[in-house]
Amino acid sequence: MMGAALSIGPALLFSEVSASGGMLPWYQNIPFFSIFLLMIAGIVMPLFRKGKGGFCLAMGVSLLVAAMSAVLLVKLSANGERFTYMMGHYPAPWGNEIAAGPLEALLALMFSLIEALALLGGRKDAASDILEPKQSLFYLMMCELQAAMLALTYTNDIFTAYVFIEISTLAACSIVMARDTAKTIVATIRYLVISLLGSGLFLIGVVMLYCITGHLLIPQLGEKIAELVATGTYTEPLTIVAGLLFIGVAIKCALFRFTRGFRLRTAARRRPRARCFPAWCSRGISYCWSSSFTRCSPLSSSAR
Amino acid sequence: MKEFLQTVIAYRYETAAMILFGIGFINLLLQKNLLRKVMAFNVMDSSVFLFLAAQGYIEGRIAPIIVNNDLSATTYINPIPSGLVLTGIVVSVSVSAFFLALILRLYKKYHTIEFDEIMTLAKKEAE
Repeated sequence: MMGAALSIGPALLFSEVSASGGMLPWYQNIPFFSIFLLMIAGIVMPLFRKGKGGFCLAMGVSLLVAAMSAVLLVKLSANGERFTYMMGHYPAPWGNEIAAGPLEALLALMFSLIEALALLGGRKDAASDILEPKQSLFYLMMCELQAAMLALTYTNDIFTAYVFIEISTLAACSIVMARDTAKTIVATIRYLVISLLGSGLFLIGVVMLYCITGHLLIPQLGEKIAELVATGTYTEPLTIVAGLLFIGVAIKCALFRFTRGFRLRTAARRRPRARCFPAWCSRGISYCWSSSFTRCSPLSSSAR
Repeated sequence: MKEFLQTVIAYRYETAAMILFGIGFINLLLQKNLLRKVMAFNVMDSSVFLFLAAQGYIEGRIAPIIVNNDLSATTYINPIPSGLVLTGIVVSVSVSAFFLALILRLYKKYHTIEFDEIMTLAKKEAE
C-alpha cells in the first residue's frame, strides 16, 4: 500500500494544478472539502433558530461527507494510492499539508457514519434536554467535532494534529455540557482537566521531537527517527519523547468515569448517549494516533 | 558539579521551561481551586512556548524581518518556532477562556470555586 504511486502536487481552492502542471485528479480534493464543508456548516448553523434546521444541516453534511469518504476509499483502495495535498501552494511548514490513503479514507468514513448515527439516535434527547435556542449550537459543536476528527485523520503535520486535538477537546466539552446543568458542568470540568493534562504532555513531546529532528511532517519525522535509531544518536531523548507522546495520548484516550462521585442517577447516566460523544472523541484520537504512528514508523519509511 | 552547573547555565531557558512545566502539570492535577487550575494550565503551556522560543533563538541573530534587503538566512533566527508559539498561544487562550466561562457558571450555582466543595454540593443535590 505504502509503496504504491505517491502523487504530490500543490493545490488551490478552485484551480488545482499538480507539480507537473496538469490538473489534480478530482478525488484528491475530497479530504480538504470534507473538512471545509463541516466548518462552513458550523458557521451557518447559528442562523437556525430552531433545532430542527440545525439537525437537518448537521445530518445532511455528515451524510455528504460519509458519501465523499466512501468514494475516496473506493478510489484509493483500487490501486493502493496515497497522495499529499498542499493547501495554498505553499509547502509545509509555510503551508499546511493533508495526506490521504485508504486507511485515512476508511477512518473518515467511519467517523462520519458514527456522527450521523449519533445525531439520529440522540435527536429526541437533544430536543427534550437542550433549550430550544441552544439546540443549533449543539449541532454546531457536533459539526466542529467531526471537522476536528477528520482534520486529525488527514493532517500530515504533527503540530496541526495537536491543534485539532485541542479543538476536539473544546467541542467535546461543549457537547458534554449541552444540558447546561450544574452536574454536567462539573463533569465537563473533570473531562477538560484530564484532557489538558494529556494534551500538555503531547505538546511537550511534539516540541521535543521537533527540536531533535527539525521536522513536523509525519513522513519526514518517520525517516529522521529511523535514521537516528539506526545511528544510535539521541536514543534517550527519543525514548522520553515516545513516552511523553504515548502517555499524553493515553491520558486523552482514557475513558475514565467523569461522572464518578455521583452515586445516584446523574445527568450522564440517565442519558447514555451523552457519554458516547467524549468516548467517540477519545477513541477517534487514539485511532488517528495509531494511523500517524503507522505512517511515522521506521517500517513504513523503509517501505517507501 | 561544575560541569553540571555550566550545562544548566548554557541551557538556562530549557531548564527553566522544564521546571515550569513540572510546576504547571502538578498544580493542574492537584490544585482544588479551579482558578489556580487555570493558572497552572497557563504556566504549563507558557513553559512549552518558552522551550520552543529558546530552541528557535540563535545568539547574535535578529528577528526574521528583512532589513536593508539582506536575504541571507544567517542573519535571522529560525522563524518556524515563533509561528508555532503563536498558534499555541491562540489555542491556549481559547481553552483558558472556555475554562473560565465554566468556572463562572459553577460559581453562580454553588458560590465557590473549590472543586471539592462543588463536588460535595453536587452529590448532596443528586441524593
